Amino acid sequence: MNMVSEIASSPGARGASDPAVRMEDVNKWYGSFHALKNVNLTVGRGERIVICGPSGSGKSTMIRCINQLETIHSGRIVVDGHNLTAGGKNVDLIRQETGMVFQQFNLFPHMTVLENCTLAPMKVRGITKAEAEETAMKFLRRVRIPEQAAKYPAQLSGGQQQRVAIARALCMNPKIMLFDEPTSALDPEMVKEVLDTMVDLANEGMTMLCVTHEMGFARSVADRVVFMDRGEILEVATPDTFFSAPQHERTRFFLGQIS
Amino acid sequence: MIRVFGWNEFLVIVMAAQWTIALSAIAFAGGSIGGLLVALMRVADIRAFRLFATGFIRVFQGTPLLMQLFLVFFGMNIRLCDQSLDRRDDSARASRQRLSRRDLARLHRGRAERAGRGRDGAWPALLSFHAPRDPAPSKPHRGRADRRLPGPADKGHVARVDHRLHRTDPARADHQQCDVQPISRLRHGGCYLFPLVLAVVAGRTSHGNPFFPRNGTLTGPTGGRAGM
Amino acid sequence: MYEFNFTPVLASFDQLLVGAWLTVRLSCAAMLIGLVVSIACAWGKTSGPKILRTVIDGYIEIIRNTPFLVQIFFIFFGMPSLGLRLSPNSAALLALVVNFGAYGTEIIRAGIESIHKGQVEAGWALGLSRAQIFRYVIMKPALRTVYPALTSQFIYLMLNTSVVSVISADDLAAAGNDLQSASFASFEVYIAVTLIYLALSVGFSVLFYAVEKMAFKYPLSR
Repeated sequence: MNMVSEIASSPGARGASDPAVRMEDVNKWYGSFHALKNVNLTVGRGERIVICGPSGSGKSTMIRCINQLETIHSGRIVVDGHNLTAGGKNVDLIRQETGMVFQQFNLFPHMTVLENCTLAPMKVRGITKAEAEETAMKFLRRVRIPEQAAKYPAQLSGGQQQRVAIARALCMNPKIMLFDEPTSALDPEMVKEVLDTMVDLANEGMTMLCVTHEMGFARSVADRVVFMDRGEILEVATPDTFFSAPQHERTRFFLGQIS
Repeated sequence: MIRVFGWNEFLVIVMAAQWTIALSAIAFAGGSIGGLLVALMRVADIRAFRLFATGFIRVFQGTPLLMQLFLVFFGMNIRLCDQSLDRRDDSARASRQRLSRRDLARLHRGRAERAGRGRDGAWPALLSFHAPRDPAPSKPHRGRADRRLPGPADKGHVARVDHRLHRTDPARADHQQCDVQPISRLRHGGCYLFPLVLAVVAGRTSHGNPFFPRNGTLTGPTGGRAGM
Repeated sequence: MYEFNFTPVLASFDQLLVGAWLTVRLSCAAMLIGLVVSIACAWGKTSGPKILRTVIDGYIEIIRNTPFLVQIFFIFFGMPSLGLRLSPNSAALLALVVNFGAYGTEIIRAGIESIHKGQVEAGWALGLSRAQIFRYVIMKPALRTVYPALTSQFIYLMLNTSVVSVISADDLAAAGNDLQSASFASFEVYIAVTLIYLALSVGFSVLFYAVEKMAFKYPLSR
């Protein structure tokens, strides 16, 4: 059941052979609620993982642990060779290496699209404004909204805002992208434009972890699909196997519910 | 000798605190009732009511309570002095009659000259605080430091004359004058209470700043309504 | 019937204007310094260590539960016994800053707490530091949210400056007091002074409105 990577690498040593993310026996509680139960998952470089499961199953919590928006209570998370559980500087480092896209976009309302995209590169990476703007425009073109650069988030549609959020994350040149239900807050007609952007990103070889209910996206893009329920990873499989021959009773029930 | 702060002094402060509580309670109660009325006017359909309420709130929120207190205090005292003078009208008239025209003229000239202007030029500065009850144009301006008045007139005489004026002139509206008047404690309290109540009314009526209602526009009667 | 006589007021109107100018300067200085104090305390209160929070809580409670008059007396007459001797105007400024700091802290804290948690998380996710998130992500929307409350507190501060005349600072109210004791036209003097205060508060309101238009141009969603 646990798909711990076969790749043998000494913990701490970093190299190209390191997986992008490795979670070992991760546990987390909210009070007495056991949110994550012995989660083990290894994500290789360039791998596209889709995480699905019923609501409250711990999907979001799991990917939020990867950039330490949530702290874990036991176990170990190693991201890009940096041991997160060691805390301290590694956390800052990991946050710079991972981009995150939220369900509610979380764009900064008081900044223009361009300013949203240039803030972190300038303040965290310390690059000049001109450089940052150049990078930002490059990514805004890639998400196909360069013409909105001078607008404020409130002037954009939900789909546009989410694409800006993707561009903003990309401006930090992350090695891993985390998507936390990026299309759940969107009107149906805007889902496609965001998914298209994500597909483009996937085709360019970005390591991605997506929590999503878009099974079409999972089928066409994912290398592996992870099914979670009640804080546990129940099943990890390729999309073909996952959709055609789910192993677990609860997976079958879940797939029956959403299709 | 410096008074030592002891148990008695502490008790005095505690007793004074009762007044604080009483004032607060009355202002709160009065303010609640008045505030409700003004609030109703503030949202009334009649434009005049809304304008009045807006103006009321603006004035009381836009001026310090201290100034409101002073205004009520001095404004009220003018009335109080008048009343008490009316009661003493006879004696006032009597003492005024005792002053000869000559005395008053002297007094006046001395003052005009002190002002460094000719008598006519100084006249505006001598305009009475009150409408003169005495038709004679010789009634002096308020008794400002009159005892120190230099002038061609006999100083002692002027001082005496002026002192009499001071005692009886209705123009004496300042609080020094009123100190000698019997003002009941309640009335005195009213001086403080009145603006307090009004301020509370204004404060309760407009939730927050009347100039900045939530819609962010300067208050017109309608803009203000939206802000309430 | 009472006859108004504004002649002495008009004759010494320049005195009142000098006082008003000090009131304006005092208010502006207290506002700016007080705003900095408030922001610092609000930060301490929302994300500082426990001990700092307790200290700030104490400060706020003490200031908000005592009259300004008592505070200014304490600073002007009480502090010298602790070795801090201030001129009336400096004591007035200090008292106003300390007073505004307490109220402003609570207002700004409310603004900070109104910021959606997702904004902070987005900041974390981008690798911004705690201070950077506060400065670039939280501050401006928080100030915008509480701007109306903040401006009315500012106006209140300006009106509160009238109390500093009790320690012989030379503000507008003090100028009024001087004038009335020289002219005895108490009622007229205080009417004039009150009208000047009203004009100042309207003027400040207009100024704040202009600042709002300039500083918070960004549109709000929905």
